[in-house]
Amino acid sequence: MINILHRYLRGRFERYYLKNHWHIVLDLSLIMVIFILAASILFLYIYKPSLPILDGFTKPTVNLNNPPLDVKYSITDRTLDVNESINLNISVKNSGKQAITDIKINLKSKTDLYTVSSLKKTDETDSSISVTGQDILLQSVKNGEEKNISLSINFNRQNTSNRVFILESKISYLLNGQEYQATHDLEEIYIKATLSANAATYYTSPQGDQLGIGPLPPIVGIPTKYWIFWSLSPTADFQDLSLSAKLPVGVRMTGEEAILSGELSYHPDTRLIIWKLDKATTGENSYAKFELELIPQEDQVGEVITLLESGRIFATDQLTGEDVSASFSKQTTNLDFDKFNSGHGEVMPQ
Amino acid sequence: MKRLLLAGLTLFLLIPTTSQASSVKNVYPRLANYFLRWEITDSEANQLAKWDLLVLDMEVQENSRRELEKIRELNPNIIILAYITSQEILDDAEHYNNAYMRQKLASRLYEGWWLRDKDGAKISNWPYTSMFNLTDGALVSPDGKRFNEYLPEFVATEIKASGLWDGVFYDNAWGDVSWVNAATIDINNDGQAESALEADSLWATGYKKMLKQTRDLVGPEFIIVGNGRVYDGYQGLLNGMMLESFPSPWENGGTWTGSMKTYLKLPSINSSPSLPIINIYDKNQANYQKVRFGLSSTLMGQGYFSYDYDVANHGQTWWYDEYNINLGPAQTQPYNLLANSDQEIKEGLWRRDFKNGVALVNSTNKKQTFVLQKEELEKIKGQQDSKVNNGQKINYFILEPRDGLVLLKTATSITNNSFINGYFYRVFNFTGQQVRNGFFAYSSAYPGGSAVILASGSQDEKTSINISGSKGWVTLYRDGKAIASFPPYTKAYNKNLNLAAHIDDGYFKKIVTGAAEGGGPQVRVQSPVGKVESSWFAYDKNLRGGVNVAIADVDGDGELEVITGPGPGTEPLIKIFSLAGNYINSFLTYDKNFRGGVNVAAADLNGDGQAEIVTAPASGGGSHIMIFNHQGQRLASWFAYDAQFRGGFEVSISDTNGDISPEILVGIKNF
Repeated sequence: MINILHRYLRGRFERYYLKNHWHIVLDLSLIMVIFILAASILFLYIYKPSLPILDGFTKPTVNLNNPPLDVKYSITDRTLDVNESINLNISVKNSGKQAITDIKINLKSKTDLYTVSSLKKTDETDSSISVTGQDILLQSVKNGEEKNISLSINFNRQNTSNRVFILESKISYLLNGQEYQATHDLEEIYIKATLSANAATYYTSPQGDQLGIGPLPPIVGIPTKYWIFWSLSPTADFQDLSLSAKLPVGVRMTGEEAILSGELSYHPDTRLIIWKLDKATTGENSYAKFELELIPQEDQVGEVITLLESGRIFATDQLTGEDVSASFSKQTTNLDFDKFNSGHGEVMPQ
Repeated sequence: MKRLLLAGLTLFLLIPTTSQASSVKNVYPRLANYFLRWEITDSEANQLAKWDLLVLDMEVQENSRRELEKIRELNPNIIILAYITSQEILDDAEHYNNAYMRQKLASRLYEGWWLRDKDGAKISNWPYTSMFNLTDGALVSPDGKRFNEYLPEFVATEIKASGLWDGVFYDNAWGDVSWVNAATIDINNDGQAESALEADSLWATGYKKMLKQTRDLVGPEFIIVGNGRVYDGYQGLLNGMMLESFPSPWENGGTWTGSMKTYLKLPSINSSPSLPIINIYDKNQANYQKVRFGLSSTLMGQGYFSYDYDVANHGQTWWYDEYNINLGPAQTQPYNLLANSDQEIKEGLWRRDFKNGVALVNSTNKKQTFVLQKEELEKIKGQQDSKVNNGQKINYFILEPRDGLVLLKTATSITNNSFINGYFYRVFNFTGQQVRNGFFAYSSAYPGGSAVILASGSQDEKTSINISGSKGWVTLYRDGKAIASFPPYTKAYNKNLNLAAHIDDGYFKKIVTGAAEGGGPQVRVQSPVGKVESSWFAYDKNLRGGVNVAIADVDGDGELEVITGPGPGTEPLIKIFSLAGNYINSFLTYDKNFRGGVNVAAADLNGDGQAEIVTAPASGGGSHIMIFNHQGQRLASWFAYDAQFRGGFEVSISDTNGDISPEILVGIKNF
C-alpha cells in the first residue's frame, strides 16, 4: 500500500509538479477543501443542530439531558406505618415544543422486600389520566402543558425488618412517533418503627421459681411482694428510650431489682418508676426487673389491686429521628402472666 | 499413803494420753445422739459420724472399738462421751458376753457399797439393776475405798485411759435419792432408815465427792456430763447435763418454761466447755413437730439436741432435714416476739438469730401468726415434712402450738466467683438438686449484664475489693465505688469481659480475663493492679467467640490452673492450662458438633482437694450442666432448667448458705 502510494506520488511529482509549481498548490488546496467538508459533515452528524432550515427534512430529537417531559414526584409523608398508604403527587410537564402522547408511568418497589399492591387516583377531575394495575396512563400532554396526578399507593412489606421502601418509576412516552423511556428512583419512604414494651407481674417465675414473697392471694395487713418484668424486644433501632409507669398509693418499691441495661429510678413526687436506656438495638432484648410490695388495707378486701398503671414508653427512632411513643398495660394482683398464680388477686381479710 | 497414791494416779492421768481433745463447734445446730447400744455396726458408725456429740455406752470401746475409731476418723471434731450409770449396775452383768466393761466394774465391787433399805435389801430403781451407795455411809472396802472413790478410778483408768473418749456421761446424776424408796433407805448401814432429808443430804454430798474425785482424776479437759434432775451443787464439776424427755417432767416444775430456765442457766454454772443436751424421745420417728419443737428450744441456748425412740431404747440414727442446715454462729440471745421488753423466760414465741438463719419456737398452747418486719427468710427445702419445710421464702409465718421452725436467711449474692450482674441464678448441689430458692444476683453498684466478682473473706465487707468487667475494662471497687480500672486488652476492645479470680480470704491474688463474644479467645492472667503475668490464645486466634475462663487447682498439686471454655463458633473443647499458659489437658464437654460455646466454673465441690470443672452451654443448648474432674471424667450431669429452654446459661460456684461446701449456681438472662 505504501509502495503504491509512493509510486503514485512520485509519478505525479515527476509529471506535474516538476513541470509547473501551480499543480502542487492546486492539489493542496483541494485536499484542504475535502478535509473541511468531511469535518463539517462529522460535526453536523454528532451535534444534530436544530437548524430551522433542516426542520422540514429531519425527525424531531430529544435532548436526553433535558427531556421535554419533566416529571416531578412529591410524597406527602415519607414516614409511614406499614399499613398506611403512600400519598404521591406526580407533576407531568411538557416543556418541549410538541405534544407528547401515550405517557405511561409504572410504579413498583425497587427491591423485593416490598411490593406495591394497588394504585388509586385520589383526584378524578382529569379523565385523560387513568390507572391500570401499577401503571398511570396519560393520553397526551401538549407542549407547555402541566398535569398533576394524585395517587394513593398501598404496599406490602415482605417478611423483613428492613424499613426503607423505595419506589421506582419507569416512564415511557411517544414524541413524534418515537418512544422514549426513563427510569427514576423516588425519595426513600421510611416505615415507622413499632415501639412496644412488655410488662408482666410474677409471683412465681415462668419456670416455677418463687420470686414474690408473702400471702397469695394478698391478705390485709401482710405485705405481699411481686416482681415486675419490663422487657423490650425492638424491631428497630431506638435511642433515648424511657419507660415509665405510675405506682399507685399503697404500693411501694422495695429496692430489689435486676437491671441488665439502662438505669431504673423512682421519683417519689410523681410516683413514677422510670427505666432509661441510651439505645435499644434491633434483635437485642433489654430487661428490667424490680420488686413491688403491697400491704392491703381493710377497705380493699375483695378487690383486685392495681400494682402499676399508666405505663408509657417514649423513644427516638434512630432511622427517622422521629419521636415515638406507646403505652403498655397496667399490672394488677391478678397476675395475668403468672401461670402458677393467675387469678389470685382479690384481697382476703386477715 | 492413800493421798499419795491418789496424787500419783492424778499425775499419771494428767500426762497427755491418747484421749481426744474436745472442741465445741461454734456453729449451730449442735446435734447429739444418745446411742446406748453396746455394739455398733459399721453402717451405724458411718451414720453416727454425722453428729457433733455422741453418748455411747462404755461397752462400745470393747465391742466396737474399730467402729468407734472409724467415727472419729470420719469426724475428727466429734465429741464422744462414754455412758456409764453412776449409781447402779446390772445384776447379772456376768451373763452377758458383750458386757466386758460392766463385768470389769462389777469384778471389784465390795458388798458394802450397795444401797440398801433398813432391812438390808438392795434397792433397785431400774429393772434388773441394783443401786450403789454413793455416800460416805457406804462401807470401806478392804483396799480402803468407797464406791464414790472406786467409780472415778474406774472412769479414769478404764475409760479415759483407753484414749477413745472425750469424756464420760454419768447417767442418773441425781441430787437426791429419797424418792427412790421413800423413807426406807439405810444410807449409813446401821439398820435404820434415814429421813428423806438426811438421806438426800448425804446422797448429794457423796455424789458430789464422786464427781470431785472424777474431776481430779481425769483433769479439767476431760468432759463430764450428767443426766437427771439438775442439782445446782454439782454443776461446777460438770460440763453439762442432759435434760432427758424435754420438757423433763422432773425438771423445775415439768414445764417448758421450767426446763428452759434450767437449760439456759447451765452454761453459767457448768465447767467450761459447757455442753448441755436436750433429749426428746417419741416412738414416732416422723413426729416432725416434736423434733422441731425440741430442736428450736435447744437452739435458744448453746446446747446439743438429741431425738430418739424411748427412755428404754436410745439407739437410733434418725436424721432430720433441719440437721442438714448450718445456721452459723449465734448472733443474739433468745427473745420473745410476744413481749416487747420483758425477756424473762416464759411461754411465748421465742426467736434467736444466727448468722445464716433464725430459730423460732412457739411454746404457747396457741397458734401464732407473726409478720416479719422488713425481713425475708427462707424455709428449709426438706424431704420429710414438706408442708412446713417447703423451701418457700416468707415474710410471715404461722406456728402451731408447741412447734418450732428453723429458717434460713435468703441468699442474695454470689461471692468469690464470677456472675453476671442481673441474671437469675438457681442453686444446686453436686447431684443437681435445687437446695434453695433461686435469686437475682444483682447490685446497682456494678454495670448490669457485666461479669462481677464479689470477694468475701474474714475482713470487713465494706473494705473488700470487688471487680467487674464491662466495655473492655476491668474495674475495681471498694464499698461499691470504682477506685481503679485497667483494660486487659487493647483500648479498641470495648465489649464485656469474662472474669475469673483467685481470691484468698477476700483479697484478689490473680485475675483471669477472657474476651466475650466478638473478641478473640485470648486469655490473660493479671495481678490485681493489671500487670499482665501471662497471655495466650486458648483456641484458634481467628475465632471471634471470646473465651470463658475459670481458675482453680484442678489436680490438687497446690498450683492453680486456668480452665477455658470456648465461645460460640467452635467445638465444645474444655482446656486446662498452667498459669503461664502451658497446655495441660483438654476434653469435649458436649457433642463435638455443638457450637454454642461453653461457660465454665471450677471449685472443689466434694472436698477431695481437687477442683471439679462445671460446664454449661453458653447459647443454643439446653441447660445441661456437666461436672468433670481434671482428667475429663464426667462425675455428674443434670438439667438446671426446663429441658426445652435454650436461653444460654451462666455457671458459677459459691457457698450461699455458709456451710463451707459450695453450691453450683446456674444463671439465666430471662425466663
